Amino acid sequence: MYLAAQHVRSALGQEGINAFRYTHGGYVWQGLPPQGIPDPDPGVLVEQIINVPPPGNVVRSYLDVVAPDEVLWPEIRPAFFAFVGQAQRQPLPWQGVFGRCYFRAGMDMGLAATWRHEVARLLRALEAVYPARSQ
Amino acid sequence: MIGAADRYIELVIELLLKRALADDALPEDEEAAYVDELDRCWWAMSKAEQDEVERMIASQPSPEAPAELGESDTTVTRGSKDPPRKRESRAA
Repeated sequence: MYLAAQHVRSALGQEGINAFRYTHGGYVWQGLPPQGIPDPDPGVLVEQIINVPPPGNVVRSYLDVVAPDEVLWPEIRPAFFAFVGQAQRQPLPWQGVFGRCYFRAGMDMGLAATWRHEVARLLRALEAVYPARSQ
Repeated sequence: MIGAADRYIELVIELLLKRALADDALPEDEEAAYVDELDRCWWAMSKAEQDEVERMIASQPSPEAPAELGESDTTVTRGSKDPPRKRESRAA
């Protein structure tokens, strides 16, 4: 599973967050995802929430989570806190593996000044595109 | 085993992030749970550790970031295997 949320800005200045969910079928792994996931193989797109229609918008920030399809949100959320806790003193972009979740995040200088609220917005967008958000 | 100082910093980071996720309106009981745990860690530290932790928390800068990411989004349709963004090609 590959979850991606990205804050984009259109040529007309419209900004918003688009989110995507891809699946990988029967792949199961621990730690780092198999080579090639999510680049160049993001999986098969099964869900998306579009606030600013692509293509060609500038990506200002992103938050990606890669995990086996079976991983539930209650496993992702604490791993995300651990990821941010370790990464936040490092220069962006960030990446790291916690449990079965691989995370990466990036943002431009303008958003980095309020990075906590930005990652919170991105995480909420990921949660919205997740299949069992109430679990 | 994680030390009290490291745990204290972790808790502060987590608390600030959870406040952001809750639009700065974290429920009182959640805040209280953090306060209790932070208090426990604080008094488990030496004076030197407390001073160091205070210094680190007070001087938290924004993370370094590039002026632009150099990526743009792409159109993807359900069932496709295309990524949602790509690196922008720069004209020479």
